[in-house]
Amino acid sequence: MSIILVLSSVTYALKSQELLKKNNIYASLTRSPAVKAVKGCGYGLLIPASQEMRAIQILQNAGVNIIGIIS
Amino acid sequence: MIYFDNAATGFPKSENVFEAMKTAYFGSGNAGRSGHDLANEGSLIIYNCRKRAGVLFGCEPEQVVLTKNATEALNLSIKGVFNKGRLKNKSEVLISSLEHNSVLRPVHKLCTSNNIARKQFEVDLYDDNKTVDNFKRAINKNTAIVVAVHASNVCGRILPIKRLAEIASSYGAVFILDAAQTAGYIPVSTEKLGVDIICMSGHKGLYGPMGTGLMTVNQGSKLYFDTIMEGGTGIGSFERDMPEFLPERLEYGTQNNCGFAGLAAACEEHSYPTEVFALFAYLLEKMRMRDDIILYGAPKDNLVDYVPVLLFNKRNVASEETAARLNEKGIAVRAGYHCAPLAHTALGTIKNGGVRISLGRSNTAEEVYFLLSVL
Repeated sequence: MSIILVLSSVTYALKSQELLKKNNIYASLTRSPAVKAVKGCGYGLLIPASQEMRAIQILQNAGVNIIGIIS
Repeated sequence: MIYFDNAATGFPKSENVFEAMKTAYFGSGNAGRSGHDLANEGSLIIYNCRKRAGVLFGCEPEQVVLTKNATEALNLSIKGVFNKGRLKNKSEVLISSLEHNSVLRPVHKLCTSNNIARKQFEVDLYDDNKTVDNFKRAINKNTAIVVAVHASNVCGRILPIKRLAEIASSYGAVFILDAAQTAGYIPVSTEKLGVDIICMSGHKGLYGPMGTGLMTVNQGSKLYFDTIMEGGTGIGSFERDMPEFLPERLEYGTQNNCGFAGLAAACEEHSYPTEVFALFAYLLEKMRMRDDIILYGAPKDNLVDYVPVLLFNKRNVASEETAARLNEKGIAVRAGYHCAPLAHTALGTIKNGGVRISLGRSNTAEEVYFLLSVL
């Protein structure tokens, strides 16, 4: 099972993808309809649901603003 | 062609830069617009450029706004930070006496459009203390923005930016630095210099492709930018305004994937040139010995305060004529006013202009010998 972390831009999505990869969390970039529903077009990262809390922590520590979480 | 016009654009660019551009040309879609692989490749190219530039200039990728040149970066900065919150009745903009038109013109436009004053401080070429004193006399509580060149594109003099920025900060003024001539030659960083924004070309000292530039924004400055151009960003499509956050707030429309792929490659392979400063010292020494050559604003005992740019004229010969004769011998220099009437006024060359020799990383001692022999 996966969840999507919605980021404010493609820049933050790619930065977040790198940060997560460094912490062994593999995330893929997505522009799924679910992401678009948050604020028009946008980018999200698809990650394993089991890593949700850890991923959020890593990104928040790095000052990345997560604007939505789609389960 | 023996190329001594590196202040206009760094030449030649490397094969790596070209290869990166070619790969982007054939292998990327519109960055930040779609979810398919080619578009994602484009997004990665753009992000990689921010990241490489960030490594070189000591900042995070999101602090790097990509532009088409230093002029665009300066316009976005100068007009962007002078927003309603900063607009006061008696606001002033302070610039140096060595500014390029890429600063003078947007500042002039800003000032005439908003009925505010443009002030100027004189740069003393041989005494930084005097420059700082001049700056102190010119700045005041109404100074909203200071815009200064890091090194003159006409004579190469580096300004004491860190000292000026400290003073500007104590007055609450935003400090915008034009690093078009220093980026790639000496380290520049918003944090280390204490400035709010640094604007630069991608194609001069960095040897990236023409049509690329960037600005880095100090995260600690918490600046709010008004936009001067709006359009598609690939995100927040329902919003009528540009995104609130950088870098996307200041980037509109389709990005230059090829250019920024090349710039990323240029940043990745970059190393600060040291040999060029030794060549510059040699050239300067020989030029000083010539009775038929007049130097303007050239270093005396302060060579470390210069990037390798030298302005001269042959006695009784028009600058464009000297440049044309050198071109006939296969030597590229730039004559005239170098888009910098303020600097030429300060240097006393506003009547006839001058010939500019600007050295770059590829110049050799043999090329300098040849130049001297032709002169």
